[in-house]
Amino acid sequence: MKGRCLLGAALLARWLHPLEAPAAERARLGGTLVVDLVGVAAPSAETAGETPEAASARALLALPLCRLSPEATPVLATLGREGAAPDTVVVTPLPGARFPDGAALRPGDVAETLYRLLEAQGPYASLLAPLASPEETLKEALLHPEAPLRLRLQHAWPDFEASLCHPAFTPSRPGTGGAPGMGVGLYVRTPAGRLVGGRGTPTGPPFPAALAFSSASARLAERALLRGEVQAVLGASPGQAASSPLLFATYLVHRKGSLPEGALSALAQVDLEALVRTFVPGPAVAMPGLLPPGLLGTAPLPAAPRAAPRPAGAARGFSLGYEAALPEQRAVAERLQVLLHDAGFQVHLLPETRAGLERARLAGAFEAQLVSVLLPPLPAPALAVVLGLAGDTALLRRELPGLGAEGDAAARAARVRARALELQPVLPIVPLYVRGLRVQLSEALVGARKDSFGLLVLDDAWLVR
Amino acid sequence: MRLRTKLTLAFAALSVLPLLLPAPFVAHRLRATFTKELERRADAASALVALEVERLKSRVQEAVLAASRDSGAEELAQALAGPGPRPLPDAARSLAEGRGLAVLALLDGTGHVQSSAHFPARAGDVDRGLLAALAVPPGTVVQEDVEVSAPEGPRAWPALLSARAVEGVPGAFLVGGVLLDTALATQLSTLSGAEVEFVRGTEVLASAGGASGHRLVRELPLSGGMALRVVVGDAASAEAEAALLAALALVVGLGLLLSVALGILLARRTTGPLEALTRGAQAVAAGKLDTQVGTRARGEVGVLVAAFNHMTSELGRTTRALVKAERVAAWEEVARSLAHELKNPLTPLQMSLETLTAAQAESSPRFAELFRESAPAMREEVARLSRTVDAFARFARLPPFYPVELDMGLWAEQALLLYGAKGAVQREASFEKGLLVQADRDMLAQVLHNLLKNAEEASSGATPFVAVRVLAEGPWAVLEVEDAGPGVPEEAWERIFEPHFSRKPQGTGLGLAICRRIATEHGGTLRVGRGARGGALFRLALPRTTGTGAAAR
Repeated sequence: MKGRCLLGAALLARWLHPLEAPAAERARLGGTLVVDLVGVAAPSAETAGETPEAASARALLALPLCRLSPEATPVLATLGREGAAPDTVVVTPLPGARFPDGAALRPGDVAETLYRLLEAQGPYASLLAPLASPEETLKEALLHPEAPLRLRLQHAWPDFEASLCHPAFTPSRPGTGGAPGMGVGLYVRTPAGRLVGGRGTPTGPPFPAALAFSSASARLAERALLRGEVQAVLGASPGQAASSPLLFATYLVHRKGSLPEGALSALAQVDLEALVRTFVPGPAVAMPGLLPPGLLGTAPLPAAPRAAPRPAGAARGFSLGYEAALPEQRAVAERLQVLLHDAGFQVHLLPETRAGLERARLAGAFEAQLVSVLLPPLPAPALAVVLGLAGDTALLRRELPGLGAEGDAAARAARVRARALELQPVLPIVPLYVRGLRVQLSEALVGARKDSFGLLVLDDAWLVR
Repeated sequence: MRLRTKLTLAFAALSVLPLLLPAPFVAHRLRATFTKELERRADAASALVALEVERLKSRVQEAVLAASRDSGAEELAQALAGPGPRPLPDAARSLAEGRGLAVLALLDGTGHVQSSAHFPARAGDVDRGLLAALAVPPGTVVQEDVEVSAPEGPRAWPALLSARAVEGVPGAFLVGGVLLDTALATQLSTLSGAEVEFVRGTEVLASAGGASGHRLVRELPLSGGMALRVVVGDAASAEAEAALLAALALVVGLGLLLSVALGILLARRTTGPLEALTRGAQAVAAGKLDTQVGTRARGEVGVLVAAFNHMTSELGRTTRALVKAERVAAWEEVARSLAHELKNPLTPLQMSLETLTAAQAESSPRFAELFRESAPAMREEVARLSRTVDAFARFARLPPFYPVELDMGLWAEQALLLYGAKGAVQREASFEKGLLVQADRDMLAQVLHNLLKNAEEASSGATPFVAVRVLAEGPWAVLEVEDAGPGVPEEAWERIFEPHFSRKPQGTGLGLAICRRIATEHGGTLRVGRGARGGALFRLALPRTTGTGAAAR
């Protein structure tokens, strides 16, 4: 596995070396790779719509800094510690990494991406929490965009490089006029809107020369797959579900003290297995702990609060926001509304945009929300994301040094599990379920795989003709 | 009320009454017609809605049957029962789409909802309403409450349901139907043109359409204590009725205006000559005896106008001749009186002069004696002649007339004070104040003096009595002087104001004549009558003025 990843990285590094011939002049061989998206309107590199299908589609257009396999294998940049200062991570873009407009990826571009994420205070900003003075460091790097980006850690955090492989840190340039930002990808968008092989795309057959997206219902997409009209369907049949990492976690986040008495007990009584089985498209499993079962292991979970008696008198209510663009969240929110209604609570559903939900969460102007995040496949960064989601930065700063102090990965994971179990009752978070990517591939598509986040990777895939 | 007004009103009444009298009857008939029409509409709408509900049941049956035979239903049921990943809980929605089914759920053999188009969040649960639809023979349409999603959470809502087994998949059932909700009420309302309500007891579950005004309700019973209420309102017919009545009122109003205008014209033409005759008669009464009416008229009125004009012409001519004759007679009377008055003293003068002449011719020794005796008598007669001539002169020419505004009561009271108590004459006085007249103060004093003097002379009997009163009598201010004397015989009530008529030995007979002339000069009258004590009662009546605020005393 490791060898295969290194081979892929080497291929990428070769592709990313500057090629003299511009994209428009390059021979178009290898055909067009058509990817059908079920339940996703269009891939966008700008927003992080947290479904496996949307994230996968986005990842096809913008390459991450690195791939986790299990080390941080460079894709766009090398991440290394300085020998003299092991608490400093140096980010160095690969020489051939270029944006679609031909501009080389600079350390300043990476710093700008990190700064935007930090400034937005989203759930992934907590992955940068181990940095010492992150804002000052990144602002300084913005002033010197060509200089190597040095990120100094304020405490030991062995998983920092791996954290930077998260798709949230995919370098991109903000779009203008509301257009999606562009990232460094294998394909570039022509003025006519087609995605054709860019400078980094292999030149000869059988590598795809163009990428196209289509959108249809699951049934039609599968039929198209059988007819050979599409080569991959995201969000369709189970496909490689068994081996798919389940990292897209959905939580019910609430503001402390905003839920009526007994509501948390009623939520704890929800049969998550039944909820997932009926209302969440697979592959998905219930997530009774703060972290997905794959990260938390089989440790016994804290006892669920005893079911509170049904409140007498008028139903007590609260609002539950959810991401309107996600049918899965809507279905879960409506099911929770029904179950809580049966338990004597009135839940007012608030469909919102993801940005609207984040704004309300940062402002504390909410009662409860469904939030989906893509957790890193490593326990410590995953717990950092969850703590960031809880909004308790002080707790985050207290917890991370202790976790990072464990040099051994297994010991660190064990400590993370222990802390996750201890913190679960006190955090304003109710874990619900975790999803993975449903993907079905055509036999004509060879070399496609999933990365450690469970996203489809077509870096070294080719079409059999 | 003037004749012209009366005629105008009569014309108007005659024109409008024929329109007004049948109005209540017309309005009543109109209302009855509209009420009948409203009932007919309510019956028709009710029948239409009932028919549509039956059609709807048939459509529900057919749609559920078609859905149960759809390959999609079979695939869905197999997918739900199979080992693979479950389809989304709203997968049944694609089956419901295009079939007009607001409710559609796939149930397993235990009655648990596997997929729901109308309430995906109920997947995995049992909905008793859906289960009840399974309990009846396939294809039967029942009315049951099913759970639907509402903003505040699940809510039971009545629906017409039909159930069918999914063909080819044992233990899988489709239950579908339509909700008795606002959408269906709107559909039925649009079809029937009436307001449609789904009611349970007193609660209106859903309604559509608006029936305003007086509402006529037809109720179609449904099961479960529910009813379908079809309501029609009479707003439209009431509006039409109001419009008709308004038109009628407009016609009546215009008729009234027209008849009043015509009435005015006709009345004017009819009453114009009569009013001219009235004005002519009033002018004649005011003394303008030769007034002519210039109005042209035909028929009887024309004859009347001509007769009036002829009459006034004759009256004027006759009056002028009469005045001339009276004037001649008056002068004859004056000349006769003057001759009589002058002749009386001349005879003694002539006899005295003849006696003296004879005595002087005879050289009578008594001449001086006779002269001494005759001279005073002759002077007396000459003085008498002089007085007589003066009196006639005063009668013929009154002094200049200087009227001022004065309060007659106040003036009389003060004037009477100047006379003071007169011996044993008993006086009675009463003066009403504030009666303003335009009068020459001296002339008025002359009249009062003359009347008082006459009264005192007449009352010189055993119980002398004079009463002076000032009182108001309509537009007149009246000065009364009454005595307790023998009074004036009724046949002399006019004659005593003629010149030279005197019932006193020393009277010139001109005092009362002058007094009457002064009264006439003031626009008033002086008359005599009998007082309460049987004596003479003189009444001087002068016209009252409204006053300028500067009344002299």
